Amino acid sequence: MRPGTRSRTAHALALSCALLLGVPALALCSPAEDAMPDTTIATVDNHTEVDHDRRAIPQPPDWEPNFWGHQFREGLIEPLSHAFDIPDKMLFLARSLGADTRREAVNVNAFDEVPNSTWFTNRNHVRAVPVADLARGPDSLAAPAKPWIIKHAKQGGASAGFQIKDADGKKWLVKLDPRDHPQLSSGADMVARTLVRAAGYNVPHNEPVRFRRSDIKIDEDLLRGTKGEHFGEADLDTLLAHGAVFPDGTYSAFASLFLPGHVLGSPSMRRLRPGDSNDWFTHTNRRELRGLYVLCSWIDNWDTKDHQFLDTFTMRADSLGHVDHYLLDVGSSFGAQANGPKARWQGYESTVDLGWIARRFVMFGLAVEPWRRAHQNTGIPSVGNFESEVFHPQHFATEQQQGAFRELTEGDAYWGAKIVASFSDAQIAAAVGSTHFEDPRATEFLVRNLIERRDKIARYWFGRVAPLDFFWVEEGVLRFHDLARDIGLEGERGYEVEVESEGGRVRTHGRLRMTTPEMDLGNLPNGTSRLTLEFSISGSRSKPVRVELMRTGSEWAVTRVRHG
Amino acid sequence: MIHAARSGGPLHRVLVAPLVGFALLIFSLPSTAGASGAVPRFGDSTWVAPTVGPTTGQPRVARPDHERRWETVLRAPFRVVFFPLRLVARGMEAGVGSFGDRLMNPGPKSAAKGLSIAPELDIGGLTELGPGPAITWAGFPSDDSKLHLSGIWSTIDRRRVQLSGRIGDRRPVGFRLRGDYDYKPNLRFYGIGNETPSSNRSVFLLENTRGEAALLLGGSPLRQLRLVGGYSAMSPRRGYQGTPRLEEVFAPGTLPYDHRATQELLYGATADLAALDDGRDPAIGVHARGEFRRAVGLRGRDPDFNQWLVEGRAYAPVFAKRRVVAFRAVYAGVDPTGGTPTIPFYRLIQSDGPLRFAGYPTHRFQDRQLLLGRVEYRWEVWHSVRALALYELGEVAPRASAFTARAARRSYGGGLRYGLSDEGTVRLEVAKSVEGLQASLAIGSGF
Repeated sequence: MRPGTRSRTAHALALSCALLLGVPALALCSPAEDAMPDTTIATVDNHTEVDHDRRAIPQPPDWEPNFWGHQFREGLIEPLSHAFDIPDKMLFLARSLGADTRREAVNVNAFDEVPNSTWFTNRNHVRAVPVADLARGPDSLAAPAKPWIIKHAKQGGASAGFQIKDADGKKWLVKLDPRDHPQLSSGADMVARTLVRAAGYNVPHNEPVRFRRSDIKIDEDLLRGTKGEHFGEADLDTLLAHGAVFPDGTYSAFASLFLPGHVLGSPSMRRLRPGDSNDWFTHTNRRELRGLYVLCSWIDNWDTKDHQFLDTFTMRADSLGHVDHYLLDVGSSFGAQANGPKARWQGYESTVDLGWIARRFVMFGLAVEPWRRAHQNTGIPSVGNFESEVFHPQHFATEQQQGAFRELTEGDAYWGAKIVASFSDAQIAAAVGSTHFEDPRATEFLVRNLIERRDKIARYWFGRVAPLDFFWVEEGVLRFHDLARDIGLEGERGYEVEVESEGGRVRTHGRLRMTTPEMDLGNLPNGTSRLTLEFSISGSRSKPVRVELMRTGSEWAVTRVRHG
Repeated sequence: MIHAARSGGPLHRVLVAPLVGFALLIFSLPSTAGASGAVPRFGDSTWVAPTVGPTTGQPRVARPDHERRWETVLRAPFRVVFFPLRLVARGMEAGVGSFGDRLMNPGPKSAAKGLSIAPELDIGGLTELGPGPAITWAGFPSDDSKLHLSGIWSTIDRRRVQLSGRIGDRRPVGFRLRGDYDYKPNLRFYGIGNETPSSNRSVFLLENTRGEAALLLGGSPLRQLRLVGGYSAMSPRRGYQGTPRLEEVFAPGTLPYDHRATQELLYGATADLAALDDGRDPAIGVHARGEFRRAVGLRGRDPDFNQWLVEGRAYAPVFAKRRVVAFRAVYAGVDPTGGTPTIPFYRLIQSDGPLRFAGYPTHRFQDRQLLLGRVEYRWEVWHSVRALALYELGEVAPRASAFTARAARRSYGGGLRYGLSDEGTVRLEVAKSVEGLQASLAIGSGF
């Protein structure tokens, strides 16, 4: 099927269905929830490496989705809604007939990359983060200085904790590791944040800490309850009773420094932030949010609800500023959750997983779920329930299906896998080492399993989409990387190229074959200024990569790359 | 800087060992870091995104996106049709958003104490809704005590007041109090015996007042002896809110104690003894239950009788604890004593509540004795929700020798079971019998 044909087929199919159903034109249009951004100033260039969404704006109003309403919607309403979504089924049918009905990510530049923005910064997959940096963790500040003064009890969330002001006057949120599991949450958070930041996302400054009861004081106002909130010594003792204690009597926790700027609240995956005219791509159509699925699958971060993200407003001197987006809480990764080892089903099933519910129901309980087969109990208190043997890169499930993950295309997943695959063994070891686990088994186990999961992810997604990337023209030769070869997953292999001219008429008969990742453009027919090349891997069923070239004078340049 | 913070004091000592281990691990891996620490996997050295064409100012990568027009066209009719459902869903979302934190905040907290008032709604059927207030006093008179008083008045004029109190919950010795007033104008009656036709269905009014106190010996409701004493008054009268009335189906004088109220003093004991792997969702174990109450008429014309019940439950896993075969057998009866010739028809054992026959309506059968046997195959479908397939035999008879296997009432069906606690379950069942299909939703101390 020629490029463009599938898209036209999809349009035709969808329009036919709509007309058959007597659709009254376009009257009932797109979702009304999205605010219309101000598009009058910014220019658009799809070759840019930076999506300039830091344009100065007035401070948007504080807003975030209601926590329990969001849980209810994503956990129950959305799965049910999608189960009975008739247009979805029609589109699925159209896809099985060959139409390409998936919505591609919108904030992707011409080279199939996500430009840097307030959401994401290209890091490890384009410039390897030094191992020494990873070993240090993602943060550059020191731990909270003692003594600490408790200013508030922690509100919400499953973990026990409190807000403090440290000896330097900085505000932190302290979360205790669950009882009998020192370094479980704090360790997972540290390792996960190190990897997530190196992958390109913004993370808060958290720090694993140890403290004694004598290191903490309670604010006088809080003790007396003069400001409406009371928290006494007995409350603190009750709270600490839920925490993990090291053999030397210190408590194990992590402290999260309050983010700079004004906290606006969590963003919604389903709507743009009100008042932020820089926020103009539907969040579910942002590649870095879709592709985050693959990263989450790697580190088993199953808790990805909207409230794990946080937006802050950074103000300049002129009272204008911009919004930054953080991935806030990645502590529910590997084998951990806030109040102990994660449940065995977490990471394999959603809370309301209609597919598995139905399968168990109709099979009279004889269906054996992957999480039952997986040997997850590591026996290591600081790791919890984690494994790599049964893990399947596409069957990873978050607690609630996240809107952006639902829109994941193979192109997005390939992009995510590229990032995951970019981490070397040494980088992974360094990131795990950043936690300084007391139990040496934890370090060894996490490193080994992260390497195994990384390789599974790379093999799987690179088997779905040809991992041919980073195309550039040098002295009349089009060169590229075979990522699977680069990372040692594959040996020598051949490549095939189908060439089309601007008008779609095929100028070459059959396919060009190559044994190295380079193509001499001198052999291409003269007389055309634009070419589309479709690269595939010999003997592989992975989807090809489309590369568009433009000739200026005698020089060819890559103008567009698309995977999957 | 982080290392600087970690380099002194006791933290330093505890970190030395893991640091050494970590260093060894890094250098033992096949892909080791160079002096600079950079470990290129791909893309590191060669890829530079080329730029083609001029860029001016500070560009965005694309224009704002919108739903594709053809997709809007495709989805529009469904959005219209399902708009009411969407409104309902949004309303529920808003409701959960408003009350969710209060109900579900999982943070560590102590049990709520004090007086609280909340609305209560009793749903007796599609046309019977009973709103009313519910008052709870937690922590009175002791920390582990709770008093609960609720009342409803329904759309069919049913009036009910319930009082329950528990002192010393989960302690070796405790105390429980229960009081009920139930004015029900449309209680069903089909006649006495196992062969009464369903066409005998009629209604009467029963005003039932009951109070019972129990001394609880044993902290767990699954291993507990309860010494009970109480009072019961029942008054049958002409019913309404349904036809035909009892008087129109059964001739006067054919039913014992027709239109005659009785008052009884009750005393006795009840007990539970269980050995289960999990009180909420048992997969293996046995559970025995027994009840005995002696009823003494308060007035000369009131009957004396004994009420009793024995029940056995057994659970066996089918190769895994998520698949269970569960058995239940109940034998219950009421026997006249002290020269009482007969038992009031409204005090006979009835197929109701936990003794209901699955494929038959409530109160369908009643007599002096009741036998019920059930086998269920349960399997886990979602967390603590189990699906179940059931087969049941039930029968009522005037005496033990009158039971025959041939006369047993058979039911089969399926449903869902959710274990609330050691003491309670929610069960949704659909079962079929020769009289048709019956659906039921029950919340309480179930099997």
